[in-house]
Amino acid sequence: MKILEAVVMGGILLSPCAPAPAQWMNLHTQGVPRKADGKPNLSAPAPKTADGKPDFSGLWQSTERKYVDNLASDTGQPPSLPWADAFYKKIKASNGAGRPQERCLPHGVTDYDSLPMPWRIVQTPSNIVILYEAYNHYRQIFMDGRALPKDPQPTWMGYSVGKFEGDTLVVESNGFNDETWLDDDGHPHTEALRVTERFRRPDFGHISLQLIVDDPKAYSKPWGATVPLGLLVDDELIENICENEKDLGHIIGK
Amino acid sequence: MQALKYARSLAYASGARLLMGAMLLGATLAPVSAQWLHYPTPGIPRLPNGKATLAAPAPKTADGKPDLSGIWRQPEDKYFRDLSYGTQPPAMLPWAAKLFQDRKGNLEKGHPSERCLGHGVTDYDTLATLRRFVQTPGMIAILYEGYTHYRQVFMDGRPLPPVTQPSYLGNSVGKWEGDTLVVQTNG
Repeated sequence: MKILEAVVMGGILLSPCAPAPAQWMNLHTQGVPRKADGKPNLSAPAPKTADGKPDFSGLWQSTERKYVDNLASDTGQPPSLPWADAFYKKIKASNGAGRPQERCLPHGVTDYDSLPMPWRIVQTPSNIVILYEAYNHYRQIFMDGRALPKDPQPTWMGYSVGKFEGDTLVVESNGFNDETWLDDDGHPHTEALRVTERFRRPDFGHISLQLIVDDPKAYSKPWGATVPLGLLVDDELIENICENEKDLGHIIGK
Repeated sequence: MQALKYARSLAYASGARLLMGAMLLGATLAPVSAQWLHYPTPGIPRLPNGKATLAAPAPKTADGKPDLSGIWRQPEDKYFRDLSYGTQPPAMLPWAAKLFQDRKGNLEKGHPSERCLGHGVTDYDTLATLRRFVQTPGMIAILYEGYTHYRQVFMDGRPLPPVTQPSYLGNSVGKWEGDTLVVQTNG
């Protein structure tokens, strides 16, 4: 039942969007180490940028669906404050009614990152851009040393700054609105949310992405998950613009 | 901030109807307050008083290509309002002329922005809001402020794909002709 539900939900969540089929079907991604038979060597060493930093550029996708289903999959119940627990239980009881995607509104950082849909990291020295296939949305992570804004106007994707700690890219984000859910399960957050993403690329084909949610107005202590990402080779993002804001609210929820 | 966003559009507005159009187009979006308001952009040639010298030579990338990186905006929106501004009217086929007249006649009812659907290439490019070019050797990303949508322009020599399913923003490939970036888009 759980599996069936996940399959149905997966199909439904994608349905209000209008994906174009893979253009460049037989694409050959350049710059990928390959074996003698032409298959990518995903356990080759991770690449470096010209200035010696780890290079996270490429097309990535979560290889574990369970974290977008429930970010607390590995931790058990998160340390929810009473209102957050009540919100979560209400969402569960209503089968997920009211999710922003019903109205073609986007995901937040944690569920974009853990959604099993591709996204591209475009890495430059001063700015790392993430192009999410879902909703054709992007985020910018500023690497030029600026501090997070104080008292920012809340937004869907927040404000992000990053730095390298050894081979780990550490991204801090604040300034979120309280409209998004942390996962499909309905874990809520407030405008006090801060998200820390720690990216590590142990080899060419894999990223380990630790997501830490710190929202003292919803949870008594920080919690999160470590999402495994796999490199997509010989593949490309396709357009995904949500053009049906009418149906999802009737299909899911009760 | 909403007001500031309007001011951005209105500074370039020249008529009441445009003003209303700009407000309506703005009103369907949820503008973000200018984050990092007083953050000076690094890497910009400046005068002693700190003002950017926009007439300084254009920068080059490490491999000697023109570097288009940065935040850009269309200084006026006359081409957004009418792409044929300043030229002869385009040679429309009868069906296109009829659709165009219908749209003019009903004050652009049915505009995709009514349904939060975003723009196409020509109206994103001519819209008087911001966009950033992120230039890497294999791909140039365009981040439009409008709708937080992006495009990718592939620079790795791949050909345009056959059109299977049409999309809003199509498929784009680019190449350098001297100092000119030429981008072709289909689908």
